[in-house]
Amino acid sequence: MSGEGHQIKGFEGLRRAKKWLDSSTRVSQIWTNENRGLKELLAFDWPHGEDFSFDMGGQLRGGDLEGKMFLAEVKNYDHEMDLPIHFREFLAQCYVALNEKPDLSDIFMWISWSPFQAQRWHEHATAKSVQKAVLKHSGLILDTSDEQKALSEIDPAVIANVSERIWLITLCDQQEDLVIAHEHYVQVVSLMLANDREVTH
Amino acid sequence: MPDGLAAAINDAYADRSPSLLIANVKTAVSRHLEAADPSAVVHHTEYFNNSLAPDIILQWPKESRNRHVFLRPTSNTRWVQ
Repeated sequence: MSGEGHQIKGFEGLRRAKKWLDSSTRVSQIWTNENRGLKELLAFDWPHGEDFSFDMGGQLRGGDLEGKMFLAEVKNYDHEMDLPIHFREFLAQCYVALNEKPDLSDIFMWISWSPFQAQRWHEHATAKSVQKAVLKHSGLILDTSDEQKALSEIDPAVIANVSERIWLITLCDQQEDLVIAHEHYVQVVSLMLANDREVTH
Repeated sequence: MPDGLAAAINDAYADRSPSLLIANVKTAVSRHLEAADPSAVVHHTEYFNNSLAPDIILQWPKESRNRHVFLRPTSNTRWVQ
């Protein structure tokens, strides 16, 4: 696929993931890396490297999720391809994000349309996997490629916290349609607006 | 977009707290709407950039229905549905 083709597919994934999240009725505020003035909220610096960005972020609403801030990575892949490499990088980025901006890092969503390494799916978001990912990127995070030195500098509490905050979401076309119907959503939003709106002056 | 509104939104983006930034953007837009029609009553919702829930609701004393305003922080028309 050409560079432009990848760009279009990436945009389409972002659009579909956002629409699905909006349809959940549990997203109050949302922004993407396409939003001027807001994409900076998704940007982070590798402590010993250049910058990187998540694809989407925002705030959830309702119940136990009320006020929770999320950061999301969206991979519009039809099959596994190099998802394992990207996921490892994502875990390392989550470690950096939680250290740099904990107030924006309550939940880390990985949204894709393909599973990967499915035999080890249950291990993908464990603390051990997060630690392996941080070690793999120890040059960028800790400025060392020495594993023992890196292990001594990694914060196990942050590793455990990242592990608990990962949401692994694998969408399919049908699931994107299997959300609240538009006519019902409009009614639900009307109810929510009636309860929550604030007069600004 | 009018220059004054664009400048006010740019100022709003300077805040690094998402909730304050979004509140400031909505206030900038609200002031512009109120200046256009002082009789309009402006409400801010808890939503921002949601596909279906409006960011701002306008009401007029002599109208029973609401007008919904959707803010889209992008110039890419593919995000406007």
